[in-house]
Amino acid sequence: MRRSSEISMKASSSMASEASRNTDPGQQGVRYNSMDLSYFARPGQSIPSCPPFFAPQSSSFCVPDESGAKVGNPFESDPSLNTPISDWDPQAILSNLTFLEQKIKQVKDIVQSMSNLGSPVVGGSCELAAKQQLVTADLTSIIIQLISTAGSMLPSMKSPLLSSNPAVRQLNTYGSPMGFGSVGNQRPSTNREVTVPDMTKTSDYEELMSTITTTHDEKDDLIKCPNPCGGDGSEPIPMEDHDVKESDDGGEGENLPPGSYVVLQLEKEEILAPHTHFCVICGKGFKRDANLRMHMRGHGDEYKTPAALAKPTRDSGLDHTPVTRYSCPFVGCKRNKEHRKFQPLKTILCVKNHYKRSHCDKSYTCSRCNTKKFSVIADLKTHEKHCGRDKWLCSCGTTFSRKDKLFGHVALFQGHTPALHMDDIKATGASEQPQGSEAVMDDMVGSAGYNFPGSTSDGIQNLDMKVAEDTRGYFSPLNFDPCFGALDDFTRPGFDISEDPFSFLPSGPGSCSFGQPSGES
Amino acid sequence: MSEEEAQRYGGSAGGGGGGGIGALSVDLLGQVLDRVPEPRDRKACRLVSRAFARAEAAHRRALRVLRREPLPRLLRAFPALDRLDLSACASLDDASLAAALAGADLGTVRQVCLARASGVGWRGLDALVAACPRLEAVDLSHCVGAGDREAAALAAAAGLRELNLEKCLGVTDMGLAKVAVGCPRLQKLSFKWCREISDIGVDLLAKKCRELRSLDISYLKVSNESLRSISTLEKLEDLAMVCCPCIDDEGLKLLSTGSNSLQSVDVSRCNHVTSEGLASLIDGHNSLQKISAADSLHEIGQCFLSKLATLKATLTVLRLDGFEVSSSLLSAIGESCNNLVEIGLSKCNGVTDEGISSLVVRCSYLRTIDLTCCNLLTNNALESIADNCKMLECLRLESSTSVSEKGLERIATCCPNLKEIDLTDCGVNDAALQHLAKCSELLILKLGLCSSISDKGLRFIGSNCGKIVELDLYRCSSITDDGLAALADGCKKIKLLNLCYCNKITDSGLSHLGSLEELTNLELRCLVRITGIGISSVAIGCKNLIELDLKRCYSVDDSGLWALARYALNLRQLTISYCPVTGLGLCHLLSSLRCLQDMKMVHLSWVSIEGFEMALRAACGRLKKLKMLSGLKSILSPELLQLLQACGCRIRWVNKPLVYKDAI
Repeated sequence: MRRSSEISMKASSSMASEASRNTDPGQQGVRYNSMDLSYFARPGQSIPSCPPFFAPQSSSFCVPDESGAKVGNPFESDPSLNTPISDWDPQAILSNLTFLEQKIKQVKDIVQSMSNLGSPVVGGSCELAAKQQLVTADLTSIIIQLISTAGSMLPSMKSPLLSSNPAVRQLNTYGSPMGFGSVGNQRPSTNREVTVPDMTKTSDYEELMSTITTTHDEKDDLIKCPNPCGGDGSEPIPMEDHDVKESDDGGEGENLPPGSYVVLQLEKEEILAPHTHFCVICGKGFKRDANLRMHMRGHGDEYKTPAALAKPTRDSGLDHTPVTRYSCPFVGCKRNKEHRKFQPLKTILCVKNHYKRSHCDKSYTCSRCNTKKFSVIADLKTHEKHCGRDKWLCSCGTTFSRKDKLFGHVALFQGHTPALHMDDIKATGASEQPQGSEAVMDDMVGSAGYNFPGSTSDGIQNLDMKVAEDTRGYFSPLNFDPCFGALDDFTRPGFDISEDPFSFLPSGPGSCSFGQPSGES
Repeated sequence: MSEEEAQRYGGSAGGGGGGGIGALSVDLLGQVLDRVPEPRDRKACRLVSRAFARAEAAHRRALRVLRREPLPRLLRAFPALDRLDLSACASLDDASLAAALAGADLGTVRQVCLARASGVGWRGLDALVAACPRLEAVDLSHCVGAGDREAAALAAAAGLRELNLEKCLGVTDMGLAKVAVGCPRLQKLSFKWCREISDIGVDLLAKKCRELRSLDISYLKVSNESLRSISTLEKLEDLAMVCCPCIDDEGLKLLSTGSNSLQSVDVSRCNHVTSEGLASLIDGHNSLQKISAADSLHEIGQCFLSKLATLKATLTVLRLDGFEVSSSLLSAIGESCNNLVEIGLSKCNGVTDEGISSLVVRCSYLRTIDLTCCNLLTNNALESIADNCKMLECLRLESSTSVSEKGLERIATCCPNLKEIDLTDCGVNDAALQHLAKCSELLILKLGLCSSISDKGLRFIGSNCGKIVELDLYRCSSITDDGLAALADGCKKIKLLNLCYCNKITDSGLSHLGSLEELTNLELRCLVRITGIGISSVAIGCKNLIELDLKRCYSVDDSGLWALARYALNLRQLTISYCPVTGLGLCHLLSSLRCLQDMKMVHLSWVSIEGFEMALRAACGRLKKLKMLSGLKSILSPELLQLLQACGCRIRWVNKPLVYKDAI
C-alpha cells in the first residue's frame, strides 16, 4: 500500500517534468525539473520526501479502472493510521519543505519569464502554452507535496472529520495525477502565488484544512474559468432533475439512509482521465495497477521481488469500513449530492460510466449503422456485436436482437405483427431504387390496377378474346412452318381451338399457315 | 368443362334451347341443375339450352379452371362463385391472376385452391385477398417456392378459417406469425413440411389463434415445448404430428394436461413416442376417436392397452402399422374397442388368422381393414372377416400370397358394400375375379402382379362392376385386346388405369380404351406393340386424359406425339422416355399442349440437340418439372436452362445407361 502510493506520487511529479521536458526543451526550468526527476526517481534511495502518512490520501487518487469497488474508503484500510506519533520525523519534514521552497522558486522564475515575454508573438504561443503547462504541473506537485507533508504531521486525523468536509475531499482529489493533463491545459496560468501554509505554525489539522480550503476557493475565484462543462460547480446551474435511466450505474435499488455512508465526489477531470497509474521512472500511464507493476519490472531488479509484484492487499478490518458512495460532479444531476433526491453511485466505475453516458458527448459512432453513438466504448462494443445482424422488426417499429423477444412482444400487444424485410423495402421504397423486374411489378400491382402491359394475352385489354396470340414471342426468329405444314396429316377437330397451338410463332402474313383453322378440313 | 368449349358446342347447337325450358325461371333451372350431380351432364344441359346456360351462370358455385387464358372471362361469367379451384390452371402466374381478378366480382368466393400453383407468388395472393373479401379457405399446399411473403399476403385475409401451407418450404416462424396475427379466426391450419418453423412460432400461433380445431405440424423439428403451447388450445380436435423426431412421451404428457377436446391424434413415425406417452395422452383426452401410431411405438405396452379400454365408446380408427403384433394383443384390442371402424395393421409382424379372428369377432362395425404385407394370412382370416364385418368397404391384402378364390368368394358374398380391394401380388386368378364381380359397388380394384388373370377375368369384372374408377393391372401379362374390349364396354367410369407391361396389348386394344371418356390417368409402360395409331385413338377418345406414361413403348413415334398434340389438350404429365420420337414431334407436342407441366424424356436418342432446344423453348413458361439425361445439361444452351429455371421449372438430371429391355 505504502509503496504503491509512493510510486504514484513520484509518478505525478515525474510525469510533470517529463511533459515539460518534451514540450519545452530550451527552458531554464527544465533543468530544474530534470534535476527533480533524478532526485525523485533515483532507485533505491530512501525517500525522505514521502512521509508514511501520505499513503491513505494518495490511494484515493489511484482510482483503479476496473476494481473501483475495492477502493472503498482508503482511510480505514491503512494500518499506518494506528502508527503512534513517534513516527513523526522532523528531518523528513524539513527536507520536504526545502524541496517545496525550491519548487516554488522555480515556478516563480518561469512565471516571471512568461510575463517578461509580454504579448504573445506569433511563434511564441506554443512556447507559452508549454510554459503554462509546466507551471500548472509544478503547482500541482507542490500541492501534493504540501498535503502529504501536512498529513504526516497529523497522525491522529479522523476519517469522518475529513469526509464530512466535502471541500477537503474535493481538494484532496484536485491535485491527483489523474487530473493532470486536462487541468493543466485548461487553466490559464495567471500571475498568482499558491499560498503555502507555514508548516511550523500549523499545529492543528483543522486549521490547515481550512487554509487549504480557502486556497481552493481562492483559486476558483481567481481562475474565472469560462468552463462550459460547469463541472466545477462554480457556475450557477439551475438545479434541475437530470433523471437519466441508468440501471447499471449502481446505487439503484439500495436505499441507504442518508448519512449512513460516506459520499465522495471526484472531479470531472479525474473521471475522464485515461490513466490512473503512472510509472515513477518514465512516466508512462496505465489503467491498471497490475499493468504498472508488470511494467516496473523493466526498470530494475528491485521491482521484480515478489513483494514488489504482489498485489497490494487490503487489510482486514472491513467491519468498521464505512460504506462509501459516490456523487456525480455535475450539479443538478440526480446523482449529484446536492440533488434533493440524491441517489449515490456505488463504485468509481459507476461514476465513470455515469458521467460519460450522461454528461459527455457521445463520440463513439458505430461504424456499421453510423447512427448509434456512445460515450462509453464498452457500450459501442456491445452494440456492435448485435448491430446489423438479424434485426427482428415489429410493425410498430420496435427492433429486437432476438426472434423470441420479438415474438414475445407480438404476443403481448394486440395488433402488432412481425415485419418482414419486404415491408421495410416498401416503406423506404421512395429512397431505394426498385430492384429488377420484381420491384417494378410491385409498383404496377400497387398503382396500375393490375394492368400488365405486354405480359400476357389475357390482360384486361384483351378480354374480347380476339387477340388470341401469345405476345411473349418465344422463338420469334425461328420459322418451321414448311415442315409442320407437311407433316400435319391429322384433320382438325370439328370445333375450333380458340388458342393457336403455334402462337409462339409470329403470325406475320403468310409466315405460318399451320395455326390457322383453314382449308384442310 | 371450360367455358370456351361450351361456346364451341353452343355455336353448333345454336337455337336448340328455348321453348318450354325457356319459360321456366332462372331460379327453377338453377334448382334443376343443382340436382344434376355429374359435371358432364350439367355441361350437356348447358350446351343444349341457353336458358340452362344462363341459369348455370347465375347459380354456379364451384369453378375449376384448366387454362389461364379464359380465366378473366370465366370469373366474370359466374358471379355467384363460392369455390374457385386454380390448382390445375396451367402456367398461371402473378400477372395473369391479378389481371383476371381485376375485372371480376368475387364478393362471394370463400374457398380458393392454389395447390401446386407454383407460379403464383405474393403479388398474386395480394391481389386475390384484395379481390375476395369473404375469403375463408385457401389451399397453398405444395407451392414449394412460397415463403414468408406469401404467408404475409394471405395474412391480410382476416376472415380466414382454413389455411393449408403444406410444403411451402420457405415459410418460417415469421410467416407463421404473420398468419397467426392476421387471421385470428383460423380453425384449420396445416404447415406440414415447413421445416423452418420452430417452437416460438407455434407458441405464438397458440396464443393468437384460439379457435384452432385442426392443426398439422408433421415433419417439423419442433420439440415438446410446442406441445405445451398447443395444449392451451381449448378447441383443438385434430392434431397431426407425423415424424416429429424431437417429440417424445414428455410432450404427450404436456398435451394431456390441456382441455379434453382432442378427437384425433397422429403420432406416426415419431421415433421417441412410446406406448406410455400415448397412454398418458389418453388419460387427458378420453374422447379420442382416431389414433394413428404407425411406425412409432417401439412395442405396444400393457399400459396402452388398458388405456385403450377407456376409449371403448369413442375410438373408431386405430392405425398400428409396422409393429410386432401378437394374437393376444389383437384380441385385447378387439375387446377394448368394439366400435372400431378402421384398423390399420399393414406391415405388422405376427398377424395370424387366429389374431384376426379374435379381433373381428368383437369389432363388427369395421369398414376398413388394412392387412398389407401380413403374409401369414390365409383364407380362414378372410372367412372370419366376411362373417363378422358385414359393412366392410375396404380390404387391403397386398402380398397375402396364401389367399385364394375361396376366401374371396366369402368376402364377395358377405360384404356387398365392398368398394375397394387391393389384391396386388396375391396370385389370384380368374375364378377369384368371377366372385369379386358380385360386388357391384366396387370402385377400386388392384390386381397388380397377378399374372394368371386373363381376359376371362376381365370379362367378369366388365360384366358387373360398372362403377369401377381405378383399376390396376400392372404386369397382368396374360391380358389381351379382347379383355380390354370387355372392360371398356362395361366399366365406363374408369379414371385410373394401369396396363404397364401387359405386353400383349396392341393398337386395337387401345382403340377400345378410347371409349373411356372419364379416363384421366393411363399407364402404358413397355407396351411394345402399340404405335401412334393406338395413341391417337386414346387421345381422341379420352378427352380428360391428364397423365400418360409411354415409357419404353418402342413403337410409338412422332405420329403418336402429333395425335397427343392435337387432341390431348388436358394432358398435364407425360412420360415418353425411350420412345423413338424425333425433335419435330417433340417441338410440336410441347408447343401445342397448353396444360403440360411435367415431362419425362430420358434417352430420346432420335431427338437432336436443336430439337430439345426448340421444344423446351416452346414450352418454357408452362413446364414445372422435367426429367432429362444429365448429358444434356452441358449441351443445352445455358440461356435456355436459366429461362426454364426462371419460369419455375425444376429439372431432374438422371444418368443411366441406355438399355433396351424386353418386355417382362
